[in-house]
Amino acid sequence: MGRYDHLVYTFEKQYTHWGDFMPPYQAYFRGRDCMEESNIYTCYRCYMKEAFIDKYPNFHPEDEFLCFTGYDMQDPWGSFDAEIEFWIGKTPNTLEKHIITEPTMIRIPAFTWHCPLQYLRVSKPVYLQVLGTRGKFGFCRLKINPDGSHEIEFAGSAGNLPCVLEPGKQCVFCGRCRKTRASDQEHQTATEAAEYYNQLELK
Amino acid sequence: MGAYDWCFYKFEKEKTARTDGMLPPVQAYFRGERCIPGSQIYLPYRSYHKPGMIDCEPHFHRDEEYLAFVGHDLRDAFESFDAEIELWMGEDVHDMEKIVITKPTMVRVPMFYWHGPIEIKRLGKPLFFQPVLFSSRYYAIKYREDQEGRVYYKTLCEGISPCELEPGKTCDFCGRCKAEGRVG
Repeated sequence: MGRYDHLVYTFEKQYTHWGDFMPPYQAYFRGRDCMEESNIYTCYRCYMKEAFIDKYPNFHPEDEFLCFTGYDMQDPWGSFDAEIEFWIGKTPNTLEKHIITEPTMIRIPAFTWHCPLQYLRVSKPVYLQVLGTRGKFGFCRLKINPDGSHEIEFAGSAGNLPCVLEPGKQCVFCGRCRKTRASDQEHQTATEAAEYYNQLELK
Repeated sequence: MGAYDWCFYKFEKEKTARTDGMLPPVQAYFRGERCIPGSQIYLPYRSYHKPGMIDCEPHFHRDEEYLAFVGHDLRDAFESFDAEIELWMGEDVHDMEKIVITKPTMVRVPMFYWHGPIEIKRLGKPLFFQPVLFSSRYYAIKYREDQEGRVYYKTLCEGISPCELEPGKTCDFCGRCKAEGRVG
């Protein structure tokens, strides 16, 4: 036993159920779920195929960074061959489109709306490093009420994101619920989703 | 042109200065404010290819740092990991503790904690060592004793400290001085 054992986290294989666009397991440092008092939330794994995962605009009260590179750190450029669509804006209905075709870092300033995000073409696996700058993942998203009014809802690993399959449990982003979602009611592309949000008149 | 173009940084191929073969000839490095205004993060994307010293002496930061050691191939960060790394860390520069890493690992270095040396003792496969510093630029505070034996703390700060090799220039942490054994 050492004095600083609590500052050392050995990655465990976290098995995922997202689908074949993800490897079967990943190295994910989930902040305070992995280590007390830590203030980073980040991952070491690829997107293997085309996918549309992040469908809704959201923001965080802190900066977030998204880094897209090739899968092999021996050559982050040579191992990159993909096209990614990403939307960002000051409000959820003024999103602007960006297409990423080269290794790129994105800074998402605090309180800036971002997503949808879609992997349009994945000729080589893409390393997306999400860098959350708090010890718990969480996001704020748009909630449209039946009367047409809207609110900003918080969801995240520090509460308010219950497991879809096991009531009483907290979401751990394992992806098991993805197959159960009513996908035919969701937007099928990032452009379609962003255009939907951009035409909203928020009241 | 979009309103948020300034939030996107296309990585440039940055030449590495080390001549000992530990690093590839080019690397991707996100150097905080220098790459995107307002960024409070500083981190590299490149692998180590040979055993040897990564960081030769203890230093600390007034910000948190995270040291990730994983395999170079992010399709499988576990299977592509095969290395042994020795890292020293502690609250007192004269009383540091050795940490040996043999599996994919994240180390949290709290602010003000001394850390280093960091040495790759054995390397079976290329290693993705990613230090993530929460700062807009790189800096390190090091222990020194002057000629009279008085202790002082030297700050090496990107863009402010003088270059060890070229008078009139400031340090950009290119690593040339380290490669030439001229670290001040």
